[in-house]
Amino acid sequence: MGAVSAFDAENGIISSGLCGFDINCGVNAIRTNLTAAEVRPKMRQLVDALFRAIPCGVGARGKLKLTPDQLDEVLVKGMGWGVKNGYGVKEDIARTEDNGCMEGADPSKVSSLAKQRGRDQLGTLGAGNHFLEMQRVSDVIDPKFSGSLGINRKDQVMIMLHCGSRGLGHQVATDYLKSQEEAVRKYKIWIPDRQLACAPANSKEGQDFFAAMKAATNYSFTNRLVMTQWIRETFEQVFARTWQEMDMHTVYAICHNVIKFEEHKIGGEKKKVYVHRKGATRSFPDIPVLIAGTMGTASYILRGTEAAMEKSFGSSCHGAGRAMSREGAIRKFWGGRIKEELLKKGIESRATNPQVLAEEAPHAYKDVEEVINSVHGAGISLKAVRMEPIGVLKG
Amino acid sequence: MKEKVKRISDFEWLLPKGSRDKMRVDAKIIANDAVFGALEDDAITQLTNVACLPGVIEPVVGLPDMHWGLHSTGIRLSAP
Repeated sequence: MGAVSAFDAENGIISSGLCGFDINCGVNAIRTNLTAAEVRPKMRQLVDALFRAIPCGVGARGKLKLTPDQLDEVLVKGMGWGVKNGYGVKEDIARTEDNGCMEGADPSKVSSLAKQRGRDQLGTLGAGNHFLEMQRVSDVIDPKFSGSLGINRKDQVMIMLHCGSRGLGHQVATDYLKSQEEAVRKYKIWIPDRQLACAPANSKEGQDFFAAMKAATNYSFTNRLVMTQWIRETFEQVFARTWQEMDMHTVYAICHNVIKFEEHKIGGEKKKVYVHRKGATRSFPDIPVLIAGTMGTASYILRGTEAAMEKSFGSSCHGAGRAMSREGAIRKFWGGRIKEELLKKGIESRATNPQVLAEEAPHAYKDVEEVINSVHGAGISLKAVRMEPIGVLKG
Repeated sequence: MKEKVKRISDFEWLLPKGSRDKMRVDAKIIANDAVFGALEDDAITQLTNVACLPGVIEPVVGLPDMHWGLHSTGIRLSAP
């Protein structure tokens, strides 16, 4: 959707519909000290090795199979579970929104079907608009801020990982959309659109969903951390250096489908409200905002601002936004052709199904540059680094 | 709905709460001319739908990547 809305803690609602099906779909940015010139000759090898290391595709099963207790720990502790079990390092946690763990997640509010779907999908990319990209820095726009993130020069290679909470999050959303459709009737809430199913913020239905959503959010944080570990290991194999030698630190990691209980200034007073970011990224002063472009187009790192706190409940955009439906894109484009077009632009790509390349064709999206110019112009986040893809993995 | 949107600045647009029935608060859209020009009416209507929900705090904000469809970011409905 690409919107942010905030609701009063007493009289407001919490809406599963306004969180979306892919709870904590988000982005991790990882830097390297490699240059595009060093990486390009090995790009095909790298993309193939990553494709083997990271399960992709719609129903992809992972290499990890969690016991019920392990899964519950992931849902409660998020990235803390990962680091304890050899995935990522403490420093990754410090560079993630909410330190990679939303407090108050309750696994007992997550259905057994959702858990069943989540058991063997940790560390999988999924499909749709999710991707893993190697990118080159094309412009350092704010050298001071980007320098503080370890991004210093043109042609530095970056890695961007865009995915979410997989089948577990989807099932949580499905379960609670249903329960909140009932809540709408029970509490006699008038909603203009069924998709906006919700429940009073302080009701059991509202709070149960919130506790389950936090669990799915933690799952997604951990999912991306597990893949971060495998990305590092794959780079180590391909470039025969340790990931530390390649400076492969997390720059930052963010969510863009999530509900947060945050303090904001409302009518001059500080107040805690339920901020619904549906296709929106948190933009707090001087905190990175990561914008995933679409296949073949630029991505950005922006700097969060005070203006966003005043204008948009500390939020900015999340990507380019579709200009054409998936179905429309599949009719119009052919996956094989898109692959060729990308290659002409110097972008090596791999996908489990060529149809994914068609439905995610760059032409199916709005111009990311105009989207970024808009948020920059409004001041709700400011341009810091622009990156262009040089290698793409799609589910 | 789009014709009811008023320009506030080069990058901000306002849809006052009176724009349709049952809107509780104003909606705002962050967009430059190019993005606003391409914006679908359905997406703007969806934004006003959110502005109808109980306890909503002013304003509801549409970001420049907004598009119609609540569930089109992320994985597909039919095949997660």
